[in-house]
Amino acid sequence: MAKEPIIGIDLGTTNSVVATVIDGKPVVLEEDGEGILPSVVAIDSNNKLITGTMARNQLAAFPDRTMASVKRHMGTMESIMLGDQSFTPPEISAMILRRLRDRASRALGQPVSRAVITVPAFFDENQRQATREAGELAGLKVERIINEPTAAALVYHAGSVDRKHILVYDFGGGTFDVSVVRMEDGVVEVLSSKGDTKLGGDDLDMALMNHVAEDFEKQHQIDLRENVSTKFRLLLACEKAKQSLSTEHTVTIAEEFIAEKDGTPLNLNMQVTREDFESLIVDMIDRTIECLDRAIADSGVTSHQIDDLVLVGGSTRVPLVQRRLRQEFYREPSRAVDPDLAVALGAATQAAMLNGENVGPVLVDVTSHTLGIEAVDGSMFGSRLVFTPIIHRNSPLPAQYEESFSTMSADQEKAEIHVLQGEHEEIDRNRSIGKFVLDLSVGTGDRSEIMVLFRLTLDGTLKVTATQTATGRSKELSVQNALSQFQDEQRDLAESRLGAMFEASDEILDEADLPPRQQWTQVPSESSVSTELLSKYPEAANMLEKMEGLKAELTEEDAHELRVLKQQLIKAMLSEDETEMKIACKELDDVLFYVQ
Amino acid sequence: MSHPEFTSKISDGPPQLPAEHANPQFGLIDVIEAFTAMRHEWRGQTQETRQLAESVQSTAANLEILQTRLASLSDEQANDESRKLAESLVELDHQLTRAVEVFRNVEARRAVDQARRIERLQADFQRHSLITRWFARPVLNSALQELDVSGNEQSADNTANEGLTLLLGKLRTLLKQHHIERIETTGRPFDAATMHAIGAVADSSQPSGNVAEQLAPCYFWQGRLLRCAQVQVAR
Repeated sequence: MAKEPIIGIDLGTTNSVVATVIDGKPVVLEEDGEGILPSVVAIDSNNKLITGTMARNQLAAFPDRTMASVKRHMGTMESIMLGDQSFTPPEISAMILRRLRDRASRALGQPVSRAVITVPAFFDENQRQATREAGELAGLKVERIINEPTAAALVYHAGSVDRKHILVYDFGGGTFDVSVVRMEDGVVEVLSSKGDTKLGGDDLDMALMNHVAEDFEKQHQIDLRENVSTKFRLLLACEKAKQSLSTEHTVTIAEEFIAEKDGTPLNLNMQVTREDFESLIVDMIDRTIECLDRAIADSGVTSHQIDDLVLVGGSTRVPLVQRRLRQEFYREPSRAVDPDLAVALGAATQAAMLNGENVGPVLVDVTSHTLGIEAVDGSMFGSRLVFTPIIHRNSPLPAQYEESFSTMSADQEKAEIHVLQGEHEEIDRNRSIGKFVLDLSVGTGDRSEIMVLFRLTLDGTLKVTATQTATGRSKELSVQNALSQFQDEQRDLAESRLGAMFEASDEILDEADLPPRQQWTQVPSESSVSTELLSKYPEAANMLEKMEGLKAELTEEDAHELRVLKQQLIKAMLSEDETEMKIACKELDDVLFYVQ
Repeated sequence: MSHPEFTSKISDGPPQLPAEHANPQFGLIDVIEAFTAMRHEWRGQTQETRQLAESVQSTAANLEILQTRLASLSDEQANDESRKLAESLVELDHQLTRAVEVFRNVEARRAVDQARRIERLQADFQRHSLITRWFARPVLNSALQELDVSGNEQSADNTANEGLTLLLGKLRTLLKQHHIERIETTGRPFDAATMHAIGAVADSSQPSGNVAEQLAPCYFWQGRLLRCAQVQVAR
């Protein structure tokens, strides 16, 4: 009988997620296609409990019967009013946990009663105990309370035994945390943790909204933030623009008829570049880097000793965050796993380990090399050609990123786009994977800007598009196998060159001289079956024993047949494939009946 | 030399079988040997048959899994694409409806302004003496003509508005064809399952807890919620 699963829960300030390990892989458990549950609870007009999206929907209209961000109150026993009823923070958290438990039960098709729950590394004993009690109130046996950075580190490094220092940078919707974690022999320890509980992605949205509103006010003398409805529309538009700026260089924030002046409707139509946005948020990102420096100082390790940077939280998708971390550590951050789900997946990994399951790190397709183009790096000391990255190594696939470049002179008629793959600033130390020339239209106005868009698919096809912004002139290059070490023609060349060398060599065997294929395959032996497996599967163990007893009485033909079946059974035992095991046992039983 | 069989046929007596064809003498060992041979043969056959049956069975099962996966993949893909299309259509409907409303409001306001201006002009004109009014008649006529011109502009706006309304009508038909239902929420009691509140306002025209202002309507697609309404609720 299969074991009852232990679920992993990321009980977040803004959102919560539940995950579990299925077939050795951590997966998020969804409900109606939604994996993320807003951490909000409420009482509706019929005095019934509602949680998640529905509760969040009524927050602005009925704040007296709705509670959000209860995590900030954990560890206290202050009373929280929902309508005319009073609750403690653990009780409110229990409502969220209960919803997550039910979501898991529905998704798995079986009752769930055990969980691992994550908490911030800075949570004290009171807060941890309160979380544990919340779990119990929700009908869960809390197998373990683990730190969020520990969970995030496990997602990328589960099963690792080497000593590693991992920096977990967690920039969520409402809070920021950074922790230094040490992993060694399966033991994970948080060495230090710093944070800013009043800094998150919402602040980035607000910064962009204020910028757009101020610009609109300059033009029309109307403050869009004064009217609740208008402010809401503007905020939604800015949040969307922020997300787009993670991959696009320029976005247009357009909202029709957003206001009225002297009876005339006014439209909002504004372009925002990535540079504009970054100048608005740079101070906030600097604050996170200050926290990070303090966390490293407190941990007692140096930044050179950090083996990996793990990104958690949706705000880590902002390119400026990644760039600053690259500058600080001279290494690529790990961001392959969805940063909104990483903590829950890590909690599920820990839960599965507790349940005796074998779980490795979460594997996601990422780019193995940095892709970019050749460009001139100008400074007061002169200019030189350098490799300019566009899609960085470790980017999850499919990846898309756009960068702006400018021509060397106003009357430039052509621009050569030389696509390279590698990690070095010097052009020659990278591999050229293609080039093309974009004909530019010369004329009046600023025509210097050229947008270069890289799109890399899961199958390794890279599409590079260069566009002269002012005229819309565009050209595209498509490179197959951009992720492989060799291009097709290079591979053919290498194959034929090596083929000739192998043929001429006396040391290299011809295909015909090779031993038969089966000699190379490893035959599973009985000794590879552990005593644990033997006691776990008594029927199979009994069959192996029976076979051993009859060994002396077998004819050569029967012995051969039994050997084949025995290997089949051992293989099934090693892979713990119960179906295969049953089949092998049945066949063995049949054969043993005849030979006995 | 005669053939033994031929000899036996022409002789009258019963055929004399050669010694090796005489009735066999079966012992228990012979029976066991025969049974063992049969058993081996049967085992070989059943094993082959079983292997064949198993391989057919597993192939059929794999095909079935593949078919289900392919079907679910294409269903999921088609569903995702259809959903995206439905979302784009409702966004267009929402924007176009807002444009038509703004146009209507502007038009109505213009008509009111026009009527007020004419009224004001005529009232001002009446305040003057009869002789002044007599001499100022060309000025009044020219002013009224001016207002008439702006009335013509208004009728051009009317046509544009009419065009937009027709366009909106076509879009609504399209929504219906794709089983997309638009639900207006103003005046309805707040429902957290289908509405997202962005705030609460004082509104005496609505009972407390009902929708006072709708920023965006609610949309259903094939009976499922596609987009929540965005509303302000009456306090």
